[in-house]
Amino acid sequence: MFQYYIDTTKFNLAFCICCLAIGNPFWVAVIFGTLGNAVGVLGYGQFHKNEYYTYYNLGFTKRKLIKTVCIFNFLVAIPLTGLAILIAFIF
Amino acid sequence: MAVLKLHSASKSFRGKNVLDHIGFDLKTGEVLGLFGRNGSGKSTLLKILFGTLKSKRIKLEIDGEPFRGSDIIKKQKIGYLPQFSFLPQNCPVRKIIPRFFPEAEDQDRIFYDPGIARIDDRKINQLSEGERRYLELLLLGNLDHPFLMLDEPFSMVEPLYAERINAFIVKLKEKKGIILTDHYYENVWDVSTRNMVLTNSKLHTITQKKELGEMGYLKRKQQNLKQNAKR
Repeated sequence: MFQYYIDTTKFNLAFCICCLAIGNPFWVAVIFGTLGNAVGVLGYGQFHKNEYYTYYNLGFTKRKLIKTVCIFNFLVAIPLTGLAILIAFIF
Repeated sequence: MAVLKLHSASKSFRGKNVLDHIGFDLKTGEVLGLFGRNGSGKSTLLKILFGTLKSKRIKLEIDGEPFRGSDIIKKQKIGYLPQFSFLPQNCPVRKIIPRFFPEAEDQDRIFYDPGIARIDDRKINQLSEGERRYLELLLLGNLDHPFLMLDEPFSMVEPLYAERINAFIVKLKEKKGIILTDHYYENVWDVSTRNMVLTNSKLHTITQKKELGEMGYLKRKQQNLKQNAKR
């Protein structure tokens, strides 16, 4: 399941880097924990769709995979958002 | 011994019935050969059983316990080898095996297999069709599912690996119930213990190879030619 997280988060991060070019770090951190997950899952579906069968055979449903990624990234996004606010406050 | 009972499954696409109240039983120790023309619904049936495709009506039991949709995946009762490659193309074989088997003892069973030992440093996209298919079968066959569905395991596979796949299915049969479908029907017929043809949305049991022609799966002329060639 860790591999699924890595693969989807790559797409999420790529999207966030693009967002960073046009937005501020606070919104990028928020996007990483919310909309970025959807981008990650869509990207994975586009480029690694067949690989879902590995996870299915190991007992992970698509719903469970997506839920885990969303929860984990949401938790990661909380300190990132705090950090972004802090950076904005300092500078 | 585990028993899978599909009492009924139906599926239609855009109003056209593909499966119409299909049902069968499967026990561990059996290999069910499933034949049917392209578009007859073989893969659809397998996907419904695996839970990745919804059926408007399905009644499935495994060891007397009713199952629905994604329960099959969660409870790991059925393994499924799809037609296409499901392994990451840029990943070496030696990195893929631990993803399926975290325990070293289980990994060794795959690593030391004669068909795998010489390819473990290669990436999936560098393998031949036969090597890849055999690896996929080995990975899924060594998982704990009591039932396994194999969708075209012999397709485009070179003879050496087709023999290996055949031998592995025979070995797997001792502890699993297997549904096997492939257009390389001779290979399927060689290892199957029971055979069925899916035609006109219904499943029909067959006991003789000539019935493949009678059920419209093969042209009779083509079948006669093959039989004569064998003689």
